[in-house]
Amino acid sequence: MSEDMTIIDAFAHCDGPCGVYDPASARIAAEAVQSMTKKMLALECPDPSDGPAMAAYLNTMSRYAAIKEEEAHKAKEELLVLWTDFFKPQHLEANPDLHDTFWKAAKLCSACKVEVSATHAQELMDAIEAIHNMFWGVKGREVPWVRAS
Amino acid sequence: MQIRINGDSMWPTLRDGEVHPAEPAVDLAVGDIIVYAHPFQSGLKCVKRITAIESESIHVEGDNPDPTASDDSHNHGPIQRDSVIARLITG
Repeated sequence: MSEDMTIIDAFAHCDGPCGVYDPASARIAAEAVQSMTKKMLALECPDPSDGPAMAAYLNTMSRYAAIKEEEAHKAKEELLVLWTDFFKPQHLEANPDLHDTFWKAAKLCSACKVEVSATHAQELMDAIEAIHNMFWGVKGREVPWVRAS
Repeated sequence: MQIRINGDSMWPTLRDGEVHPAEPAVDLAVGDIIVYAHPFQSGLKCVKRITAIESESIHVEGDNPDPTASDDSHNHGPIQRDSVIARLITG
């Protein structure tokens, strides 16, 4: 071994274009999914013989459905980026259920697109909270889970 | 000299925060773990494994199998032999 005890910091960092990651973006999209799901379930159907009311109802319901679809897809994209770009093999040591958690969360995004399910919308939020805890855990920071709504 | 590892690109061989002894880099060979000056950030010292040597041109890679885990010859290209600072003494 060398007698020279000088310490040199050598960087063993990830690839240059790696981004800034935060599960908050997935959480915001999933909150929109949950909000649209609740609005769809709460919307009362008017008398079908009332043409203008029916048109307004269908318009509103369609917009809720479109936003739910779009935000569920956005949530899935954000999750997939976290899963495949941010998380690395070494993170499995502390989070052995990481792959299962992400796979189920992505499937819940799909379920929320297909269905109008308050249960699955809440399960998606729960899954993203678990991912939030994994994410900040590997970064060694305590960041509280906060919802916008 | 001693080398302090900063990052996970050499995981699982070298872990973030570990300190390893190093020696002058002579007679480099494929498989050696070296410290070198980044080709585009001369003040940045990097640690990677040699995967190929062609005359003065050296190809280095991180040990981490994740495709985005390492800033190495896959993105900054080969390094020059005269940019090598030290070779780690491992196990």
